[in-house]
Amino acid sequence: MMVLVSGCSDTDDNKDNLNENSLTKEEVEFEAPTEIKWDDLVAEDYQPEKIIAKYQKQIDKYDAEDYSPEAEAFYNKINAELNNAPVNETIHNQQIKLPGFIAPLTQDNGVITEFLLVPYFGACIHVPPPPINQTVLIKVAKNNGIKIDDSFGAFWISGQIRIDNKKTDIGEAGYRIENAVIEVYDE
Amino acid sequence: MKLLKIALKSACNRKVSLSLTMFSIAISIVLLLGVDTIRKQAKNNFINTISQTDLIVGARTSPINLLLYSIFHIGNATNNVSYASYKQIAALKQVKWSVPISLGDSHRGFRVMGTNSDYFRYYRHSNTQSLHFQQGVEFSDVYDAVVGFDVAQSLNYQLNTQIVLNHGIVATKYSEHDDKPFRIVGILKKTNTPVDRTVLVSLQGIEAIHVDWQSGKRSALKISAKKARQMGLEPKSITAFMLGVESKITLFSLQRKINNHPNEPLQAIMPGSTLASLWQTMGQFEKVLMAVSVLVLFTGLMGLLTALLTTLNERRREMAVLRAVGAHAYHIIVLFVLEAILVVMGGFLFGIAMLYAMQAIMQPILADSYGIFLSLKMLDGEQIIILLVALLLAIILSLIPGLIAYKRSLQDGLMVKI
Repeated sequence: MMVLVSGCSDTDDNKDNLNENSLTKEEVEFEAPTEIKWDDLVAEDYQPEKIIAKYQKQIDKYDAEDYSPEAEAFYNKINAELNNAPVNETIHNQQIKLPGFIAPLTQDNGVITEFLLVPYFGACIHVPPPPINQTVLIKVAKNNGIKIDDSFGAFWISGQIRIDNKKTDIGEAGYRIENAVIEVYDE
Repeated sequence: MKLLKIALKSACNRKVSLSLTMFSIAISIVLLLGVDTIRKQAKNNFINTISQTDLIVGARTSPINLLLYSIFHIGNATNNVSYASYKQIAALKQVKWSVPISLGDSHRGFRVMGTNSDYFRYYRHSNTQSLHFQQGVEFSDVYDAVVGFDVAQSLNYQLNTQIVLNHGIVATKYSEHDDKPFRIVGILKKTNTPVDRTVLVSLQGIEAIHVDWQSGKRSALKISAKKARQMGLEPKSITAFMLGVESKITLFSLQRKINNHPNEPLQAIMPGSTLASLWQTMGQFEKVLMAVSVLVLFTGLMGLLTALLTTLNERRREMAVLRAVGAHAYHIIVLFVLEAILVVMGGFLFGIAMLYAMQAIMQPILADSYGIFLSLKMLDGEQIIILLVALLLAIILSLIPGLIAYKRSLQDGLMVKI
């Protein structure tokens, strides 16, 4: 049975789950995946309204049609802060199921084996990209790749989600799923 | 067996019309299987041409256009990328490696690509294959060149052969850089990608040959090869560059950053995504082609049906005689089915032979103009299924004249009124 996990309100429950289950590798693999939403990937203490509120006075100063370099720099600064939304640590190592669209990275003879999962279509090419915590790096399970021709449209991705905490200078921490299973999303 | 012999002998009576029917079925098979083969091989080639490259960057243009000209050498760049921008982006902390490429010249119909030794280090195709040398080494001198397998083979080049590069993609006598010949120092192994048909030189080599072409045509003030070698040959612009990143999760933000580069309009693409969208477009076209081919097969089968039906009348006596010597009524039907099978199988054999002959002829043409490398292969599972379905359809269609003849033979007895 699929349980919708709402990261914002069930925080304490999630933390309990992580501790009391002490998931072994076998247990993790046999657990039925929990359906999550893209909002659950955002840390619950992230409040974009507060950031906007902080800059509200200055935002009001600028016209909607203001394309001057200062306005540009200012909006870039706000956007950078908004995009700097941290990851939700509580879903680390959970078996989850998440719907999204595929931006292919690696393919083997027409079968996609590694891709980025994004919340909306069109992120693939030239629309403003989703922030780091709204992207998941996915490697498919063996023989579970999807053909390029079939990769358009929405898909359910199931697997264990991990947070890559290599927060070094070069890469930011992000979500990844290894051994993912792909199913067509039809709702 | 006897029935088969009878069917064959009977068919000989009508060999002209049946041969023509066989021929039309053969042609429809050539079309059906030919389209299927080219489609699959083209796709394979495209898909396997580049791998393990995270971003390709060029002057702002449509993503598909950028992919086509930078990697497949189909079409032309709309503008160049300044070397300064390239260095700036290559130095970003998210970038792990970069390979600059410079296009625009050719050699006897083959594209010339300027690059550096990082190309040999980082270029991958067919998922994991890197470039290997059949003979020789990478370029090191300004006037060194490395050629792809097909270039060497079709032009009979060996190491140390001198070649002259041409300005632009079509060779003409007056646009040659003949004052600065290049020397082949390496020949690559076959890759089944556009690399086979490319002449690779250093970026400095590209600069050297254009040193006295700054106005767009050869200057009267000539600069010799020797003199050019001593000039600072740092490129001012390149056509595009490939990037590998440290962490793939940063791809979107890096792509955005490059697309918003302040100094010049750039376009960064993820090859996997762009290839997928190219295939989505091609997919519609493929479907149309397949639909046309199926209709042609249908036409061929209709021809078969027509040939069988129109001769029904003439064969009434034949059927009556056969009944008289002991043939059962259902044997009549079997005769017609056998004849249909004979014609269709004949058509298949003829068609497949024609298919391979045509593939052999088209191989160099497709490679030249479209970068599609046809390899003559056995029919695959899908194609055999197509043939079996066609055979089944023919058998079903042949039941129509078969049943008509069956009914008539019951009515006629030996008294056939022709």
